[in-house]
Amino acid sequence: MSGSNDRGFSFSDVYQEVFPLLVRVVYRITGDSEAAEEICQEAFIRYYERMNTIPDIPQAKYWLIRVGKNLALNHEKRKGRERRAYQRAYHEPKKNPETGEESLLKAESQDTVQKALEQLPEKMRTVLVLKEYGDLNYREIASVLGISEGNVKVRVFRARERLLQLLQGGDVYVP
Amino acid sequence: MYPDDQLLSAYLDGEVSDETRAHVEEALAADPDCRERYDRFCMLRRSLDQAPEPDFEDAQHRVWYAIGSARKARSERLWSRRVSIPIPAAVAAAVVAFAVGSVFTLLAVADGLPSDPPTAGVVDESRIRLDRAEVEQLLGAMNAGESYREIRIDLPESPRFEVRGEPALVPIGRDDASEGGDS
Repeated sequence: MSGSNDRGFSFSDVYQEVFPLLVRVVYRITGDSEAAEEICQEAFIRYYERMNTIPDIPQAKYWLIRVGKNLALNHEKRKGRERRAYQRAYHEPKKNPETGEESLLKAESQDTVQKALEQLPEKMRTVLVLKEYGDLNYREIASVLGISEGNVKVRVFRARERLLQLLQGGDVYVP
Repeated sequence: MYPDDQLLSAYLDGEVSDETRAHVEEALAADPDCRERYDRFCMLRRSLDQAPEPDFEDAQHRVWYAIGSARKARSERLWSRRVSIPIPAAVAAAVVAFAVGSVFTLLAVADGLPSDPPTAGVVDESRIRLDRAEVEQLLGAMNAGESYREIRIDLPESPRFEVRGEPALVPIGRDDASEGGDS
C-alpha cells in the first residue's frame, strides 16, 4: 500500500503527514472519535484512488481536508436526523430542567468546549476548526472551502464571538 | 485607527499587514479596554487548545491497516458486482450478441476455420530451465516469509526459444531431474 506516483512522494508520505491533522479536524467537527476514524479511512481510500491526479503533498492535504470536512458534515446531518426521529418516536424532551448547581457540575466534568463547538452553526464551526485545529491560514482555508479570504476572516471572528457567548453565558447544552 | 474586535481576531491569527500590526500593538499597549477585548480571544484560543481529545496514535495504525483491507475488499467486489440491466436493454444486447456471433461463425466456416471454441481442459504449460542456485535463492526467500510485490526475471537481449521434447503432465513433488526431458 506504499504505491508511489511519478511525482516523488508516496501514499505513505501523505498519510504520515496528513492523518494526525485530519483526524483532529474531523473529530472537532463530529465530536465522535469512532466516526473520525471511519471518516479518515474513507477519505484516504478516496485519495488513494485518485492520487495520481494530485500534484504535491500540500494539495493532497487540502484535498483530504475538503473531503474529510464534507464527510464529517454529512455524518453530522445524518446523526441530527436520527436524533430528531428518536425524539419524535419516544417524545424524549430535548433538555431536562436542572438546577444551576447541577448544570455547573456537569459543565465542569464534561468537555464543555467541544460541546460548545458542536452548537456553532456549520459555516462558523468549520472555519474555526480549520483555523484552530487544521493549522491552516486564511488563504488555505479559503481554498479548501471555496470562499474568499475576507469571508474566512468574518466567519472566524463571528465563530469566536458566538463561542465566547456560549461559554461565558453558560448556554452550552451538555446532553 | 482604533482596532475593532474583527481586526483583533485577525491580528491574533497573524493575518494583518505589518503596518496594521504596528497600529494594533500600539492600541493594545495604550488602551486597557482594547487589551481586555483581545485577551478574550486569547483565552478562547487557550480553551480550544486545551480541550481534551482522544489519543489518535493507535487510531493512525488501525486506520492504516483498515485502509489496506478495505481497498482489497473493494477490488474483489468489483469483479463479483451484480449488474442490474433493464429488460429491453438486456434483450437488445442478447440480439446484438447473437447477430455478431452468427456473422463470425459464417466467416469462420467460409475460411475453413473451426467454429468451435478451443476444447476446455487443455493446459498450455511452458517450462523454463533455470539455474538451480537462483531457484534455491528464490525459494529460500519465499520460505523465509519475505513478501514481494513483484519478481523480475531478466531475459537475454537476443533470446532464442525452441520447443524440445513433448509436453508432459508432471505431478507436484516429482523430481524434475529424474525425468530427463526438456520441454
